[in-house]
Amino acid sequence: MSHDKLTDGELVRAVLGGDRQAFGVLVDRHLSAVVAVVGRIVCNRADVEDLAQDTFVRAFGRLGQYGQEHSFRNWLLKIATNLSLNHLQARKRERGRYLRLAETRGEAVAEVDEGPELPSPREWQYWLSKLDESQRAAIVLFHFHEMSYAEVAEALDAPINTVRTYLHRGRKRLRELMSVRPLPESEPCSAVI
Amino acid sequence: MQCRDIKLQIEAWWDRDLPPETAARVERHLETCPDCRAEYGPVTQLLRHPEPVAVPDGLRDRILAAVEPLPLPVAGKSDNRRHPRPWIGFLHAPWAGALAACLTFAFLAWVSSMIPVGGSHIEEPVVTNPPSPLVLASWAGALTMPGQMGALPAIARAAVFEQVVQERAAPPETFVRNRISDQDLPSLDATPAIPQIPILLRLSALGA
Ligand SMILES: [Zn+2]
Repeated sequence: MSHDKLTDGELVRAVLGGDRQAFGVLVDRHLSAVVAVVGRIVCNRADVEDLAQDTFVRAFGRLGQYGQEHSFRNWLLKIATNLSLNHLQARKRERGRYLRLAETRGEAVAEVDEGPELPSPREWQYWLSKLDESQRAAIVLFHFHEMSYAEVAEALDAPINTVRTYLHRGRKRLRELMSVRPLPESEPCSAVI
Repeated sequence: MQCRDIKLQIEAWWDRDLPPETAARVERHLETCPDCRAEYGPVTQLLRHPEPVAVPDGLRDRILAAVEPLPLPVAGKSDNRRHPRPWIGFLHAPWAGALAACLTFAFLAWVSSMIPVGGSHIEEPVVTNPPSPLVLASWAGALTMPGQMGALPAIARAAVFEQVVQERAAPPETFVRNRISDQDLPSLDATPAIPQIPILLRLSALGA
Protein backbone atom coordinates (compact mmCIF):
# COMPACT_ATOMS: atom_id res chain seq x y z
CA MET A 1 0.00 0.00 0.00
CA SER A 2 1.27 3.44 -0.87
CA HIS A 3 2.49 5.50 2.05
CA ASP A 4 0.58 8.49 0.77
CA LYS A 5 -2.76 6.89 1.54
CA LEU A 6 -1.87 6.14 5.15
CA THR A 7 -2.94 8.38 8.02
CA ASP A 8 -0.31 9.86 10.31
CA GLY A 9 -1.18 7.30 12.96
CA GLU A 10 -0.71 4.45 10.51
CA LEU A 11 2.62 5.89 9.39
CA VAL A 12 3.77 6.08 12.99
CA ARG A 13 2.88 2.42 13.49
CA ALA A 14 4.70 1.57 10.26
CA VAL A 15 7.87 3.29 11.55
CA LEU A 16 7.59 1.43 14.84
CA GLY A 17 7.27 -1.74 12.82
CA GLY A 18 10.59 -1.05 11.12
CA ASP A 19 9.55 0.93 8.06
CA ARG A 20 11.88 3.93 8.17
CA GLN A 21 10.63 5.30 4.91
CA ALA A 22 7.30 5.99 6.52
CA PHE A 23 9.05 8.61 8.65
CA GLY A 24 10.09 10.41 5.47
CA VAL A 25 6.42 10.76 4.58
CA LEU A 26 5.69 12.26 8.00
CA VAL A 27 8.54 14.73 7.46
CA ASP A 28 7.14 15.66 4.06
CA ARG A 29 3.71 16.26 5.52
CA HIS A 30 4.69 18.38 8.48
CA LEU A 31 8.04 20.00 7.72
CA SER A 32 6.57 23.32 6.60
CA ALA A 33 4.39 23.61 9.73
CA VAL A 34 7.35 22.84 11.98
CA VAL A 35 9.57 25.34 10.18
CA ALA A 36 6.82 27.96 10.43
CA VAL A 37 6.27 27.46 14.17
CA VAL A 38 9.96 27.50 14.94
CA GLY A 39 10.63 30.45 12.67
CA ARG A 40 7.80 32.49 14.13
CA ILE A 41 8.73 31.82 17.74
CA VAL A 42 12.50 32.03 17.53
CA CYS A 43 12.64 35.13 15.36
CA ASN A 44 16.28 34.59 14.46
CA ARG A 45 16.24 32.76 11.16
CA ALA A 46 19.72 31.38 11.52
CA ASP A 47 18.50 28.92 14.17
CA VAL A 48 15.37 27.78 12.41
CA GLU A 49 17.00 25.00 10.47
CA ASP A 50 18.70 23.42 13.47
CA LEU A 51 15.59 23.62 15.60
CA ALA A 52 13.37 22.15 12.90
CA GLN A 53 15.82 19.30 12.45
CA ASP A 54 16.04 18.75 16.20
CA THR A 55 12.25 18.61 16.35
CA PHE A 56 12.08 15.71 13.93
CA VAL A 57 15.05 13.87 15.40
CA ARG A 58 13.53 14.15 18.82
CA ALA A 59 10.13 13.11 17.55
CA PHE A 60 11.68 10.05 15.94
CA GLY A 61 13.27 9.01 19.22
CA ARG A 62 9.96 9.37 20.99
CA LEU A 63 7.66 8.00 18.40
CA GLY A 64 6.89 5.08 20.69
CA GLN A 65 5.34 7.49 23.15
CA TYR A 66 3.10 9.25 20.68
CA GLY A 67 -0.41 8.76 22.01
CA GLN A 68 -2.87 8.62 19.16
CA GLU A 69 -5.37 10.73 21.10
CA HIS A 70 -3.61 13.88 19.86
CA SER A 71 -3.10 14.79 16.26
CA PHE A 72 0.42 13.94 15.16
CA ARG A 73 0.86 17.46 13.83
CA ASN A 74 0.01 19.02 17.18
CA TRP A 75 2.27 16.54 18.97
CA LEU A 76 5.09 17.56 16.64
CA LEU A 77 4.34 21.27 17.03
CA LYS A 78 4.44 20.88 20.78
CA ILE A 79 7.97 19.50 20.51
CA ALA A 80 8.89 22.34 18.14
CA THR A 81 7.44 24.93 20.53
CA ASN A 82 9.27 23.49 23.54
CA LEU A 83 12.58 23.40 21.70
CA SER A 84 12.11 26.96 20.47
CA LEU A 85 11.24 28.36 23.89
CA ASN A 86 14.11 26.46 25.51
CA HIS A 87 16.41 27.81 22.85
CA LEU A 88 15.38 31.39 23.62
CA GLN A 89 15.91 30.79 27.33
CA ALA A 90 19.36 29.37 26.69
CA ARG A 91 20.29 32.36 24.58
CA LYS A 92 19.14 34.71 27.30
CA ARG A 93 21.24 32.85 29.87
CA GLU A 94 24.22 32.85 27.56
CA ARG A 95 23.84 36.56 26.95
CA GLY A 96 23.53 37.20 30.71
CA ARG A 97 26.70 35.23 31.42
CA TYR A 98 28.53 37.09 28.72
CA LEU A 99 27.46 40.46 30.10
CA ARG A 100 28.41 39.52 33.68
CA LEU A 101 31.78 38.24 32.52
CA ALA A 102 32.47 41.40 30.53
CA GLU A 103 31.42 43.50 33.53
CA THR A 104 33.73 41.72 35.97
CA ARG A 105 36.63 42.08 33.55
CA GLY A 106 35.80 45.72 32.98
CA GLU A 107 35.57 45.15 29.28
CA ALA A 108 33.35 47.04 26.97
CA VAL A 109 30.45 44.92 25.86
CA ALA A 110 30.89 44.09 22.23
CA GLU A 111 27.94 43.76 19.96
CA VAL A 112 26.75 40.22 19.98
CA ASP A 113 26.52 38.85 16.50
CA GLU A 114 22.91 37.87 16.08
CA GLY A 115 23.36 36.80 12.52
CA PRO A 116 22.86 38.82 9.39
CA GLU A 117 19.14 38.26 9.06
CA LEU A 118 17.29 40.30 11.62
CA PRO A 119 13.70 41.12 10.80
CA SER A 120 13.01 44.66 9.77
CA PRO A 121 9.95 46.62 10.94
CA ARG A 122 8.45 46.06 7.53
CA GLU A 123 8.10 42.40 8.34
CA TRP A 124 5.56 40.66 10.55
CA GLN A 125 8.40 38.90 12.35
CA TYR A 126 9.54 42.20 13.71
CA TRP A 127 6.26 42.73 15.55
CA LEU A 128 6.12 39.22 16.87
CA SER A 129 9.66 39.55 18.15
CA LYS A 130 8.52 42.36 20.44
CA LEU A 131 6.28 40.05 22.45
CA ASP A 132 7.15 37.85 25.40
CA GLU A 133 8.05 34.38 24.25
CA SER A 134 4.97 32.82 25.80
CA GLN A 135 2.65 35.39 24.26
CA ARG A 136 4.32 34.91 20.93
CA ALA A 137 4.11 31.13 21.10
CA ALA A 138 0.41 31.30 22.02
CA ILE A 139 -0.34 33.69 19.17
CA VAL A 140 1.61 31.62 16.68
CA LEU A 141 -0.13 28.39 17.61
CA PHE A 142 -3.64 29.82 18.02
CA HIS A 143 -3.75 32.24 15.11
CA PHE A 144 -1.23 30.98 12.60
CA HIS A 145 -1.69 27.28 13.12
CA GLU A 146 -5.33 27.36 14.10
CA MET A 147 -5.02 25.36 17.24
CA SER A 148 -7.85 25.55 19.75
CA TYR A 149 -7.33 26.95 23.24
CA ALA A 150 -7.13 23.43 24.58
CA GLU A 151 -4.52 22.46 21.99
CA VAL A 152 -2.40 25.53 22.71
CA ALA A 153 -2.69 24.83 26.42
CA GLU A 154 -1.52 21.28 25.81
CA ALA A 155 1.38 22.47 23.64
CA LEU A 156 2.51 25.05 26.20
CA ASP A 157 1.77 22.93 29.27
CA ALA A 158 -0.28 25.82 30.60
CA PRO A 159 -3.85 26.19 31.83
CA ILE A 160 -6.39 27.39 29.28
CA ASN A 161 -6.97 30.64 31.16
CA THR A 162 -3.27 31.37 31.03
CA VAL A 163 -3.36 30.83 27.28
CA ARG A 164 -6.25 33.29 27.03
CA THR A 165 -4.23 35.82 28.99
CA TYR A 166 -1.19 35.30 26.74
CA LEU A 167 -3.35 35.89 23.68
CA HIS A 168 -5.09 38.98 25.01
CA ARG A 169 -1.92 40.60 26.30
CA GLY A 170 -0.02 39.70 23.17
CA ARG A 171 -2.63 41.24 20.89
CA LYS A 172 -2.89 44.31 23.09
CA ARG A 173 0.85 44.78 22.84
CA LEU A 174 0.74 44.29 19.09
CA ARG A 175 -1.95 46.94 18.80
CA GLU A 176 0.10 49.39 20.84
CA LEU A 177 3.22 48.69 18.82
CA MET A 178 1.56 48.77 15.44
CA SER A 179 -0.35 51.98 16.11
CA VAL A 180 2.97 53.84 16.39
CA ARG A 181 3.55 55.86 13.24
CA PRO A 182 5.85 56.10 11.45
CA LEU A 183 7.28 52.61 11.67
CA PRO A 184 10.34 52.53 13.90
CA GLU A 185 13.77 52.01 12.44
CA SER A 186 15.20 48.53 12.49
CA GLU A 187 16.59 47.52 15.84
CA PRO A 188 17.89 44.29 17.25
CA CYS A 189 15.33 41.61 17.85
CA SER A 190 14.58 41.84 21.55
CA ALA A 191 13.49 38.25 21.71
CA VAL A 192 16.92 36.84 21.16
CA ILE A 193 18.95 39.24 23.24
CA MET B 1 -23.05 47.26 13.86
CA GLN B 2 -21.49 50.38 15.39
CA CYS B 3 -17.87 51.20 16.10
CA ARG B 4 -18.48 50.76 19.83
CA ASP B 5 -19.82 47.25 19.17
CA ILE B 6 -16.59 46.43 17.40
CA LYS B 7 -14.64 47.65 20.39
CA LEU B 8 -16.64 45.24 22.54
CA GLN B 9 -16.53 42.32 20.16
CA ILE B 10 -13.10 42.49 18.62
CA GLU B 11 -11.36 40.34 21.25
CA ALA B 12 -14.04 37.68 21.02
CA TRP B 13 -13.76 37.81 17.26
CA TRP B 14 -10.01 37.33 17.38
CA ASP B 15 -10.61 34.53 19.88
CA ARG B 16 -12.95 32.83 17.37
CA ASP B 17 -15.61 32.88 20.07
CA LEU B 18 -18.34 34.68 18.10
CA PRO B 19 -21.22 32.90 16.37
CA PRO B 20 -20.78 32.96 12.58
CA GLU B 21 -23.39 35.69 11.90
CA THR B 22 -21.84 38.05 14.45
CA ALA B 23 -18.37 37.31 13.17
CA ALA B 24 -19.53 38.13 9.63
CA ARG B 25 -20.95 41.46 10.82
CA VAL B 26 -17.68 42.36 12.55
CA GLU B 27 -15.80 41.50 9.40
CA ARG B 28 -18.13 43.60 7.25
CA HIS B 29 -17.76 46.57 9.56
CA LEU B 30 -13.99 46.34 9.51
CA GLU B 31 -14.06 46.34 5.72
CA THR B 32 -16.22 49.43 5.48
CA CYS B 33 -15.25 51.59 8.46
CA PRO B 34 -11.96 53.49 7.99
CA ASP B 35 -11.67 54.30 11.72
CA CYS B 36 -11.96 50.71 12.85
CA ARG B 37 -9.75 49.55 10.02
CA ALA B 38 -7.06 51.96 11.15
CA GLU B 39 -7.49 50.80 14.74
CA TYR B 40 -7.71 47.03 14.31
CA GLY B 41 -6.65 46.43 10.73
CA PRO B 42 -2.90 45.98 11.13
CA VAL B 43 -3.17 43.42 13.93
CA THR B 44 -5.98 41.60 12.17
CA GLN B 45 -3.91 41.50 9.02
CA LEU B 46 -0.94 40.15 10.95
CA LEU B 47 -2.99 37.49 12.74
CA ARG B 48 -4.94 36.33 9.73
CA HIS B 49 -2.36 36.44 7.02
CA PRO B 50 1.04 35.57 8.40
CA GLU B 51 3.68 35.48 5.76
CA PRO B 52 4.85 31.97 5.06
CA VAL B 53 8.18 30.81 6.40
CA ALA B 54 10.27 29.24 3.67
CA VAL B 55 11.60 25.75 4.27
CA PRO B 56 15.38 25.87 3.85
CA ASP B 57 16.69 24.00 0.84
CA GLY B 58 17.75 20.45 1.52
CA LEU B 59 16.43 20.46 5.08
CA ARG B 60 14.28 17.40 4.48
CA ASP B 61 17.26 15.34 3.38
CA ARG B 62 19.37 16.56 6.28
CA ILE B 63 16.66 15.55 8.71
CA LEU B 64 16.39 12.07 7.24
CA ALA B 65 20.17 11.73 7.26
CA ALA B 66 20.21 12.71 10.95
CA VAL B 67 17.51 10.17 11.77
CA GLU B 68 19.06 7.36 9.75
CA PRO B 69 21.67 6.18 12.28
CA LEU B 70 19.23 6.31 15.21
CA PRO B 71 17.85 3.06 16.56
CA LEU B 72 14.22 2.38 15.76
CA PRO B 73 11.89 3.74 18.40
CA VAL B 74 10.10 1.17 20.50
CA ALA B 75 6.32 1.25 20.78
CA GLY B 76 4.99 2.33 24.15
CA LYS B 77 8.42 2.99 25.57
CA SER B 78 8.13 5.79 28.07
CA ASP B 79 10.85 8.28 28.65
CA ASN B 80 11.55 8.66 32.33
CA ARG B 81 13.69 11.69 31.86
CA ARG B 82 10.82 13.70 30.53
CA HIS B 83 8.10 12.30 32.70
CA PRO B 84 9.09 12.30 36.32
CA ARG B 85 8.57 9.01 38.07
CA PRO B 86 5.17 8.89 39.70
CA TRP B 87 6.61 8.66 43.19
CA ILE B 88 8.26 12.03 42.72
CA GLY B 89 4.75 13.44 42.63
CA PHE B 90 4.31 12.82 46.33
CA LEU B 91 6.78 15.63 46.99
CA HIS B 92 4.10 18.04 45.90
CA ALA B 93 1.24 16.42 47.77
CA PRO B 94 -0.11 18.47 50.66
CA TRP B 95 0.55 15.65 53.13
CA ALA B 96 4.16 15.17 52.04
CA GLY B 97 5.50 17.45 54.76
CA ALA B 98 3.63 15.63 57.49
CA LEU B 99 4.74 12.24 56.20
CA ALA B 100 8.37 13.31 55.98
CA ALA B 101 8.21 14.72 59.50
CA CYS B 102 6.68 11.48 60.85
CA LEU B 103 9.29 9.33 59.14
CA THR B 104 12.08 11.52 60.43
CA PHE B 105 10.65 11.50 63.94
CA ALA B 106 10.33 7.71 63.90
CA PHE B 107 13.87 7.33 62.67
CA LEU B 108 15.19 9.73 65.29
CA ALA B 109 13.33 7.80 67.97
CA TRP B 110 14.88 4.56 66.72
CA VAL B 111 18.37 6.05 66.66
CA SER B 112 18.01 7.44 70.13
CA SER B 113 16.70 4.08 71.40
CA MET B 114 20.05 2.61 70.36
CA ILE B 115 21.84 4.89 72.76
CA PRO B 116 21.98 3.42 76.28
CA VAL B 117 20.77 5.79 78.96
CA GLY B 118 22.05 6.21 82.54
CA GLY B 119 25.45 4.54 82.15
CA SER B 120 28.54 6.39 83.23
CA HIS B 121 29.99 6.03 79.79
CA ILE B 122 27.88 6.02 76.69
CA GLU B 123 28.73 3.46 74.07
CA GLU B 124 28.80 4.22 70.43
CA PRO B 125 25.37 3.68 68.94
CA VAL B 126 24.95 0.52 66.91
CA VAL B 127 24.06 2.36 63.76
CA THR B 128 27.16 2.83 61.70
CA ASN B 129 27.85 6.40 60.81
CA PRO B 130 24.49 7.75 61.92
CA PRO B 131 23.44 11.12 60.59
CA SER B 132 23.04 13.75 63.24
CA PRO B 133 19.53 14.81 64.18
CA LEU B 134 20.34 18.19 62.72
CA VAL B 135 21.13 16.62 59.35
CA LEU B 136 17.94 14.57 59.46
CA ALA B 137 15.88 17.60 60.36
CA SER B 138 17.48 19.35 57.42
CA TRP B 139 16.51 16.57 55.08
CA ALA B 140 12.99 16.67 56.40
CA GLY B 141 12.93 20.39 55.78
CA ALA B 142 14.26 19.88 52.29
CA LEU B 143 11.57 17.31 51.58
CA THR B 144 8.75 19.40 52.85
CA MET B 145 9.78 22.45 50.88
CA PRO B 146 11.36 21.22 47.68
CA GLY B 147 10.73 24.42 45.80
CA GLN B 148 11.84 26.99 48.30
CA MET B 149 15.54 27.46 48.40
CA GLY B 150 15.36 30.20 50.97
CA ALA B 151 13.52 28.06 53.46
CA LEU B 152 15.91 25.14 53.34
CA PRO B 153 17.91 24.63 56.47
CA ALA B 154 21.57 25.34 56.10
CA ILE B 155 22.87 21.83 55.64
CA ALA B 156 20.39 20.82 52.99
CA ARG B 157 21.06 24.12 51.33
CA ALA B 158 24.75 23.35 51.26
CA ALA B 159 24.08 20.04 49.55
CA VAL B 160 21.83 21.68 47.02
CA PHE B 161 24.37 24.43 46.49
CA GLU B 162 27.04 21.85 45.77
CA GLN B 163 24.78 20.34 43.14
CA VAL B 164 24.01 23.69 41.59
CA VAL B 165 27.67 24.64 41.54
CA GLN B 166 28.47 21.44 39.70
CA GLU B 167 25.83 22.26 37.13
CA ARG B 168 26.86 25.87 36.75
CA ALA B 169 30.51 24.87 36.43
CA ALA B 170 29.77 23.34 33.08
CA PRO B 171 31.66 25.14 30.31
CA PRO B 172 29.76 27.72 28.27
CA GLU B 173 29.71 25.36 25.32
CA THR B 174 27.00 23.35 27.05
CA PHE B 175 24.64 26.22 26.53
CA VAL B 176 25.24 26.17 22.85
CA ARG B 177 22.75 23.65 21.71
CA ASN B 178 24.28 20.44 20.60
CA ARG B 179 22.90 18.83 17.56
CA ILE B 180 20.26 16.64 18.96
CA SER B 181 21.01 14.47 21.78
CA ASP B 182 17.67 13.12 22.66
CA GLN B 183 19.07 12.48 26.11
CA ASP B 184 19.45 15.94 27.46
CA LEU B 185 17.17 18.42 25.97
CA PRO B 186 15.88 20.61 28.73
CA SER B 187 12.24 20.49 29.55
CA LEU B 188 9.93 23.41 29.01
CA ASP B 189 10.25 24.23 32.67
CA ALA B 190 12.61 27.14 32.43
CA THR B 191 13.02 27.64 36.16
CA PRO B 192 16.01 25.70 37.34
CA ALA B 193 14.53 23.16 39.69
CA ILE B 194 16.21 22.37 42.95
CA PRO B 195 17.48 18.87 42.41
CA GLN B 196 15.13 16.66 44.31
CA ILE B 197 16.28 13.23 43.30
CA PRO B 198 19.77 13.56 44.73
CA ILE B 199 18.23 14.61 48.03
CA LEU B 200 16.02 11.57 48.06
CA LEU B 201 18.86 9.30 47.06
CA ARG B 202 20.99 10.66 49.82
CA LEU B 203 18.19 10.24 52.30
CA SER B 204 17.68 6.64 51.25
CA ALA B 205 21.43 6.10 51.42
CA LEU B 206 21.20 7.20 55.02
CA GLY B 207 18.79 4.39 55.66
CA ALA B 208 15.55 6.30 56.15
ZN1 LIG C 1 -16.08 51.48 12.95
